[in-house]
Amino acid sequence: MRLVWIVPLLLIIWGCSGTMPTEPETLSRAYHAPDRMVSNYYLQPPDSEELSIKGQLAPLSDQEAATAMMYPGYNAGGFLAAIAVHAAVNSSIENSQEQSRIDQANQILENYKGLVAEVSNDDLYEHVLSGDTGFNLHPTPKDMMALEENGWLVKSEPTYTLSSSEDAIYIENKVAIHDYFLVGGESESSLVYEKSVAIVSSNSDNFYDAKVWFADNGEYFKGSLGELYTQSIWLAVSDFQEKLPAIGAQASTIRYLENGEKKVERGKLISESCDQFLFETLRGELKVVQRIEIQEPASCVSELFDI
Amino acid sequence: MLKKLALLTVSAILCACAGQPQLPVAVDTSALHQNDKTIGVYVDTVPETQLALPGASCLLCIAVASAANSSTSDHVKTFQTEDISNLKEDVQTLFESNGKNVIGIDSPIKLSDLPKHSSEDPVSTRSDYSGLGTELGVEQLFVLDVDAIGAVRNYASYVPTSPPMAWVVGKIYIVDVSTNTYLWYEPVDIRLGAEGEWDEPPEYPGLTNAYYQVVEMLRDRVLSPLAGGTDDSSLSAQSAP
Repeated sequence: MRLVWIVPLLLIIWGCSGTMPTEPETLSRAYHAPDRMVSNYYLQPPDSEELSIKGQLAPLSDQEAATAMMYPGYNAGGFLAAIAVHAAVNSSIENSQEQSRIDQANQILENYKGLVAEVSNDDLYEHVLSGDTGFNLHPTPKDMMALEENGWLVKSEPTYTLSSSEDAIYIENKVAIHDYFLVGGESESSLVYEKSVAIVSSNSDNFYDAKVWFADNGEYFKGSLGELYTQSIWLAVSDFQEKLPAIGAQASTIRYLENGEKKVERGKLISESCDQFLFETLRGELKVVQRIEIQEPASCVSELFDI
Repeated sequence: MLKKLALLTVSAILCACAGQPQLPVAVDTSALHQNDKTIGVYVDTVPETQLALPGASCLLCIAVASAANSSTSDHVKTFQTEDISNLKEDVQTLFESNGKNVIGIDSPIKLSDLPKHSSEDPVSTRSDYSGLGTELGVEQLFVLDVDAIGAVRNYASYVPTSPPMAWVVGKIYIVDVSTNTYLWYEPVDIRLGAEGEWDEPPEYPGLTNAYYQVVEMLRDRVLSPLAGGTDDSSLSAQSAP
């Protein structure tokens, strides 16, 4: 009889204790490389004209990352009630803490309000199209039907992040490429490539001064964002065209600079230059980061991007 | 009353018998710069990576917790430890660059089998290293001893009270084998949670990254003080971008 109670109780505890496994936040999708003679790429402007920029979140402390909780276990009812109350309270606290972290991170942008107001996604879109990316990149035609005959549609969702030490700006751009030729219109099945590209602005002379972003009446800031956007599109299309060097077979520990400090991430190295690494993260994202020690030009490739 | 007295006595005996943990000893840089002394560098065999489940103490609790974490546990077992084993060469190179005579020790040493040594001195070792020093031909001995590595998830009986965290525990020390005193003693217990989601089978990218960050923190804890720098174990957890 006692067993009849114990077994369901264990099942309930087991059910309550585990969280549903999350699908890995995969930032890439299987795709096929261009297999026909279509070399035109049509870049669609980001959905929003307004620049999406945020401050970098501070890392979680050990205590915030995981807090042990001892539940009172005088009897089964009290035990289960304690778990339920803790779960409800914890969820609410976590949400408010996360919002507080975001608000705190965004405070760094207070000084940049003027600069940010003068840059729009449309400006950066024009910057990409005016540069030489090495492939046939065009603005999206007014007549979208033109794409059905000849071209790939490139869509992007760039988000910029100012580092908490203001030494760098990162772009995280979700790039998607649609094949209009195959399905005659945009749909889920026309999606042939999707990947997130993250790039940290190059700082080849290791010079940190927040004032630099305000140089030339904000032109330096605008130019830096434009370069990051161009590089992210170039990387994604080059990856789609299978023109990037082969990805390393084994994952290794990549050590790089962030906020002027060493940061470590596991990934597969693709390419490196005197001041940057390009690697694929464990989530399948393409990432460009700053080397800790800049190499002498005699022993390395000076530019990572062939733009 | 008699029962309480007996309980108190047993508790007092147990407390007295429990060994006090060795307190940290700062690096004695002057002793390490004595270049006429040969130093041995030994990295003890690194245990296999595993997921520890402290708090799941009863037999049924262990069975439930093990079953609930079997996928995570299998993945933690695939984590590599070469970056720790390779520390021997890095430490050797560091000492050599400072002009010291260095002997790398490859054959395993049973540290727990060393004879006992007792002293009131707080920097004194609890094992007698003099015989080992003579055998190895060294006056000083660097040891990295990893007790457990992988990940840890706290439990309260059947219920997990934390997500799995990357984890390494052990000790780093340098002994003057002639005096059996520590020239450096650093207990290590590093835990780091995954940034963002952790429960992403089968590859667990968040937890995997946290593990290799913990390994890097251990490397910094070993190398930075020897290089004369400060400990750089404040390595930040992964964040945006």
